[in-house]
Amino acid sequence: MTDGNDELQRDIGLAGAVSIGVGTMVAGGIFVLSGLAVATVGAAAILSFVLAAVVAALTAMTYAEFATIYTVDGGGYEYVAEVFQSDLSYLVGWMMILGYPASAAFYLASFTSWFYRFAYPALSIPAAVPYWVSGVVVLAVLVGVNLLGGEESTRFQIVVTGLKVLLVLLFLGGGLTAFDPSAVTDSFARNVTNLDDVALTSALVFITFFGFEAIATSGGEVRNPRRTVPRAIFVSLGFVTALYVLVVTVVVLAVNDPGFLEFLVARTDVGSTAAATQFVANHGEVAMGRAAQYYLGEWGFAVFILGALLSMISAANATILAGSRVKLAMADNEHLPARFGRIHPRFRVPHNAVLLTGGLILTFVLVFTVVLGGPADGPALTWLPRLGLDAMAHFADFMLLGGLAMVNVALIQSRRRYPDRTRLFEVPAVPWVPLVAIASNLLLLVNVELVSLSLGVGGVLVGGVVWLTVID
Amino acid sequence: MSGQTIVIAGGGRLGRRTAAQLTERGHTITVIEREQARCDDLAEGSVGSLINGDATLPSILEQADIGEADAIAALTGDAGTNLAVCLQARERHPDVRTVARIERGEQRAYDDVVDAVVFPALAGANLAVDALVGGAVGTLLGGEAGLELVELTVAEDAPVADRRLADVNLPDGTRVVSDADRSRLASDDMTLTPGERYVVGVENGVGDEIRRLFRG
Repeated sequence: MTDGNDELQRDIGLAGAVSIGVGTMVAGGIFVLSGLAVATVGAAAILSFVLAAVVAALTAMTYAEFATIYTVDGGGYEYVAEVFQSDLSYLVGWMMILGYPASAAFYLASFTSWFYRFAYPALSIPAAVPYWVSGVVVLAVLVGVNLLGGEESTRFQIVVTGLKVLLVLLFLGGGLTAFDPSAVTDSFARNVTNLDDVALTSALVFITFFGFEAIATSGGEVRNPRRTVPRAIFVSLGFVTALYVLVVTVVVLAVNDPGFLEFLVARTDVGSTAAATQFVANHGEVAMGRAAQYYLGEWGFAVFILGALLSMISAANATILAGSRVKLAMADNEHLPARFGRIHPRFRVPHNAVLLTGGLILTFVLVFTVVLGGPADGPALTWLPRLGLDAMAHFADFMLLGGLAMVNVALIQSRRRYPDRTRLFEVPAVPWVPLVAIASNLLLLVNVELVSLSLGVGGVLVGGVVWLTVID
Repeated sequence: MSGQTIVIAGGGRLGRRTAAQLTERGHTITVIEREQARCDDLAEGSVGSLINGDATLPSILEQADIGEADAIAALTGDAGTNLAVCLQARERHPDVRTVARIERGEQRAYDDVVDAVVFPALAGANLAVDALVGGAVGTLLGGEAGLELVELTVAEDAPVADRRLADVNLPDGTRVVSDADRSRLASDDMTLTPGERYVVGVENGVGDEIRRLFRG
């Protein structure tokens, strides 16, 4: 029995909640994905991003409705647990337990690889320092911040997310000075009929918008949660969609700007301006860095790299926060040992859950990148399959998408079983909208690559074994 | 956060206060409120989950997951409704602890029906009496069930002032419970010091006499 002193505090306002959402949605991928998307479908990538946002909004609405019914931590897992009141919800929690740390590990591994490529030369760090050290240091700092207190980690999140948005806006400001409407409309007209690729690109970028789940996991620590959480979900979704559309526009402008293409050819080993589009597709981040340099001046490259590094830190931080809250909720439902539900009396954080999340992330980083991967140009252990970053991202997608589908199922059931629970926001046309959302979640889920799919299924089976041996 | 799961029927002032305090202490609260406007009002806060409906209906109690609840408090303004809610709840979930708000009558009359009653008018009246004429007397437990527990300050010129507890001839049906700083149980050889407060248990009928002994 705990008394009032050992409770989490409601100290997250709208700014904090939005920074968790935007932080997760705008990771380093904003430039990599945009480069890739533009190389595939040109300016029609705008359509792809908007389509992905609309599909994400279908599930986001489900979260918004649930957030006005239940005002506790745990997000999708907790919603499923409340509606089904059965231990099957454990599996959803387990998928989140693996999914969140895997995506945090993906952000940190991306951070590591960027840091290795750009900061090592710039700061003259000897190459003898293993490339994964920077990621482990950042992880330790983030876990420390999350142990200090909910208010501290939220403040940290607001500052880092604000900084990264500022740097992205700076990048956009530079790029948009070269705005040439005909370049965008021409590219759009050329590609818009290529509906298959537009849809495929849309699927590729969908998981970016997953950040609304992270907002919901902290529902128990948000002030006036029934208003704030849905607002934060829709504000984040709208803001990030606009940001992506603008970044895509700048990428389109850049690849159609002869001046920039010559600049790019001169600075990289791209042979000709004709090969530049392919280069943007393969090395979106480098191309964007050069674009920043071209439009903003010499310091543009540094601004860009710093922005990207901050993006990955803020995404990782929000993900650590979200992952630990799922474990807290699971411990409260006896789906994890009770010690993970304990709140530290002084710092008022679920310290054991935060530490467990940190440990899982470290495991994922080491297993996927050091043991099964290695730096992009470094040696891998030859007798093991080389999995690396993409496999980890897809593994996370598998877990998180599975959770999203279950939450949509739970919404349909909630309307039947709890028709009179007060809902300040209601998803229109239930069950049709959630059914479309479930279909889209599953479609994306089965499309992850085979290795990650089997890893995902394996992960779920391990969850079953953990349940039978440790928890039940 | 090993809090309890508690259902509160009635989202008026008492229900809302109770829900807020329990939430603050980490319990999981579901409030059932019949009026839409009140429900919308409650939704602006962070208190648990809300159900808009009539708590006497079985389907509404089902939606509150009464089968999983540790306790239910029926706190609407209507005692009949509250008793009906508690009876319904107990029928669906025999182990649930039931608390009903009543407006008049003897508390013990409900012993067979609910586990405890809340009588806001009486609790308020006790406080009002203390504030008006109690002075140095504080009611800890009202005398509705026969036993009253009060805090008494010894007056300078009171009959018991500066005397050992063993030497004071207290009337039958009274017992001094605590020592001067209320940190220990009373002992026979302690002195009743003027200006200090003691917790005293008093059975019905002798309240006036003990007040006269302590207050003079």
